[in-house]
Amino acid sequence: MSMQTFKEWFFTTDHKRIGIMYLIGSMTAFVVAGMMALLIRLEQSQLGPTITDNPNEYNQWLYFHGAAMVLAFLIPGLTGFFANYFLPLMIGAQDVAFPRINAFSIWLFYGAIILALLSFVIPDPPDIMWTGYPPYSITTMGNTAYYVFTLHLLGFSSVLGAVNFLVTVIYMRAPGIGWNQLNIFTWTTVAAFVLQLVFIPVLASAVTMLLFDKYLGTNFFNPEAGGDVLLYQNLFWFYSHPAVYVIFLPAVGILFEIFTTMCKNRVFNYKACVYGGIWGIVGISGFVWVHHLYVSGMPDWLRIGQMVTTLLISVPVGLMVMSMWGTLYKAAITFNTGMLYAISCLFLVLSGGLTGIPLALTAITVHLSETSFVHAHFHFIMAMFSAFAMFGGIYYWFPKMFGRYADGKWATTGFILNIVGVHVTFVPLFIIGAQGMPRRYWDYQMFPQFEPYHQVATLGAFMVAAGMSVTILNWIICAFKGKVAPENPWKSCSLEWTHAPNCPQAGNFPNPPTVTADWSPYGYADREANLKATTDPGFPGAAKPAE
Amino acid sequence: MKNVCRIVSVLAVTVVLLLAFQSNAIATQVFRVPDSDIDPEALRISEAKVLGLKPKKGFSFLNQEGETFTFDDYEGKPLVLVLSYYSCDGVCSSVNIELGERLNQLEKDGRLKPGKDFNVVTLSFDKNDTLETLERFRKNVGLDKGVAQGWTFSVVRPEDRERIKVFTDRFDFRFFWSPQDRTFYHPTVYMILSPEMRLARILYAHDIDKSDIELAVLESRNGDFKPGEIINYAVSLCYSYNYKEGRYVFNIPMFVAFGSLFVGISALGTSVFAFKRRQKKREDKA
Repeated sequence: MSMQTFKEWFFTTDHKRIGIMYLIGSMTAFVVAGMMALLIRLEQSQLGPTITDNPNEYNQWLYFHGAAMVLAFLIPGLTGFFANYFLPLMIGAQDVAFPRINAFSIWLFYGAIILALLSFVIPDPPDIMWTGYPPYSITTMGNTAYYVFTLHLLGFSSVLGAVNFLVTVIYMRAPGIGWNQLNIFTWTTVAAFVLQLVFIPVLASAVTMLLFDKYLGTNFFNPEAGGDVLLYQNLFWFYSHPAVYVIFLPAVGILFEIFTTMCKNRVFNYKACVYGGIWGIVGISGFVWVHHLYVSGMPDWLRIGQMVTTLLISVPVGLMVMSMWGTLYKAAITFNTGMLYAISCLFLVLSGGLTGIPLALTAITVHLSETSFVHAHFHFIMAMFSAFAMFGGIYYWFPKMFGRYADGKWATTGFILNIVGVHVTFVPLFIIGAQGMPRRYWDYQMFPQFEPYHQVATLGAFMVAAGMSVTILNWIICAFKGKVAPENPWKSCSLEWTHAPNCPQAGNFPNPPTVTADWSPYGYADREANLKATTDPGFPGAAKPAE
Repeated sequence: MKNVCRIVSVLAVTVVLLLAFQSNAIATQVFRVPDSDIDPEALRISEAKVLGLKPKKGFSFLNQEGETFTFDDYEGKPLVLVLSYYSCDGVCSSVNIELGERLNQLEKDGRLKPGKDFNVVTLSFDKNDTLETLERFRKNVGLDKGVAQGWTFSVVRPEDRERIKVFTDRFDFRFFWSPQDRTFYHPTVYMILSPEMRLARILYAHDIDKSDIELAVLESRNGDFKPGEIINYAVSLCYSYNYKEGRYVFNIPMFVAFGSLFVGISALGTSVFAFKRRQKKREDKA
C-alpha cells in the first residue's frame, strides 16, 4: 500500500471506506478473541493444568475473549461496518449527516483495538472478564484501567456513530421514502442506535466510578469501605442486556435483507415486525436486566416483575421470527452461501431462544445460574446467531463491496465446518451445565465426569476455527481475485442494489434516487412497476439486473 | 542568700516553662484512657453469617407487664430489636434514649409509624435482670412514660436466664463482663427483623436518623408494599445501606448513572440542532 493510499484511507470521510475499516478492525478482534477461545477450550480439555498452570492467565484469556467478541467484534461489526456501508445506500443518501464525526468514530474504535491488543504485552493485563465486577476488579493486580479506557473509547465511538446515523435516517432519506418504506435493516439499526444512545452512558459512568474506586480511593462500589457492590452489577447489566439487542436487532435486519432477496418476496407482516417486533424489543429491553442477577439480593417484586418482562420480550422476538418464516413461505428460494447462513440462523435462534426460557424463570435459574448452560445459551442466541447473520450478510453484499463473488465451494465448506462445529462445541456444554458444571472455572477437579464432554467441545471449537479460517481466507482472496460479479446479481429491489453500482464511489449514486409512495424495497410482486416508481438509476444494468 | 534566691527563681521559671511546653504531653498522660483489652472487631457482628437467620427457638420472655411472649408473636410486622442490659449506666441508656427520640419523631411526622407499621423490643441479655431492674432502668432513662406505641421492654424468663448466651450467639451478638469496669462490653446496634422474623439489617446505634430506621424497616419487608406506599419505596431507592457505617447513605452512583441516561439524548438533540442549522445555511446560500 502506497503512502498516498494509506492517507486516503486514514483520513477518509467516505462512509463506505469507514465501513470497510470497521470490518477489518472487528474481524481482527474476532480472530484474536477466537484464538483466546481456543486456548480456553484447550485448557478445559483435560482435568488439571493443561496448557497453563496459572489460573490468572486463564482469566486474562476469558477477559480478552469476552470483551473483544462483544465490544470489538459484534457491536462494531454490526453497527459499525454494516450500518456504515449499507444504511446510507439503502435510504438513498449520498453520505452521512456528519462525515468527519464518522471518521473520528473509526479512529476511536482503532484506538480501542490497539489498546486492547497492547494488553498482551503489558505486565499485568486485565483479568476481570468483560463484566469488570467489583470487588475483584478494584483489588486485582490486573490493569483495570485498560479495561475502563477501552470501554470509554468504544462507548464514545458508538455514541457518536449512533447520533450520526439517527440524524442521517431522520433527515437524509431520499425524497419520497416514507417510514413504512424503509428496509428492515434500517429499522433494526435505528433501534440499535437508540439503545446505544440511551444505555451506553450508564455503562460509561459505572466503569468510570470503578476506575475512581481502584485508583483514586473512592468507595462507590467497594463493599469493605461501605460501597454498594451490587449496584455496579445492576448498572452494568442495565446497559449490557440491551447491548444484546444492539447485536440481535441488526443481525435480524441482515437476515430480512437476505431472505427477501433470495425468496423474491415481501416482508411478511412488515408493520407488526417493525412496530411490534423491533420497537417492542426496544420498549421492553430496559426492564429485563435483573435476570442476570436473580441469585443476588433483591426484592421479590423486582425479581418476579423482571421474570415476567423477560418472558414477555419473547413476544416481539417471536413476531420478528414469524415474519422471517412467513417471508420464506411458498417462496422460490435461491440457495447460496449467504442464504445457508441465514437459514441456519432460524435454527440457532430457536435453540438459543428456547434454552433462554428456563433461564428466565427464577426458580430454575437458581440451579442453572453461572453454569455452562448459560454459557452455551448466550453463545447460541447472541454470539453464533449474530456472527452467522454477519457472515451471511458479508456473502450477500460481497459483490456490492468488491464487485466480485466469493468462491461458492470454499464458502460452503466453511459454512458446514462452522455449523457442525458450533453444535459439537456447545451442545455438550448445555448437557454438563444442566448437571452443574460451573462456567469460567480454570479447572474442574471436582467434576471429573465432565472431562469427555469438554474434550468433545474442544474438538468442536477447532472445527469452528477451521471453518472460520476457510471463510476469512476466502473473503480476502476473492475480494481481489474472485469472479467478477455483474450489477445487482441477486436481483434485489433495494436501492443499494438497484441505484448504486458495485464498489460505489464517493456520493454513492450516479443519479441520486427519488421514489414514489408505490415503491418498496421489497416490491418483488411487480418488479417492473416497482422500478418505475423510482428515478433512473443512472448506471447501465441496474434497471434490468443481469441474469 | 540573694544568689540562692536567684538560682531558685531561675530554676522555678525553667521548670514552669518546661511544664508549659510539656503540658500537652502531661495532660495526655494524666487523662489517658487506658487501652481497652477488648478488640473492637470482637464487638462487630459478622453480618454475612447472620443475615436471614431467625431468633433461636425455645426461648420466651417477660414484657414490662409481666406477660410471657415469644418472637413468633411478632410475626407479620418488622421488628426493631435492641439488646441491652438494665444495670448499664452508659451506652445502653443512650442507645435506648436515642431510639426513643427517633420513634417519637416517627410517630409525629414519619412515613412509617411505630406500633402500626413495625414493633420495637428492648431485651436484656443480662441473666441478673428482672422486672424490677427493668422498671428502674425505664424510670432512670425517662422511658417509663410517653414512649412510642409498640415498644416493649423485656427480660428473659427465669428458667432461660442461664442459657441466654445461646440466644444472643444466634445473631453473633457477643458480650463480655469486665469485673474491673463492672460493665458489659457489647455491640450497640439496632437489629431489624423482617415480618417473618428473619434478621434483615443491622444499624449501628450512633447518631442514626429516623430515616435510617424507616429505610431499614422498609427494606426488611423485601418489597412487600402497598400501592399507597410507592413514595416510600421511591425514597428508599435513593439510599443504599453502607456496611461499614451500618447506616443508610445517599446513593450517589445511582444518581450519576440515572443522570447519564440523558447524555445520549442530549447529544442527539444537539446534533439535530447542528444539522438543521447547517442545512439552513446551505439552503440560504443556494
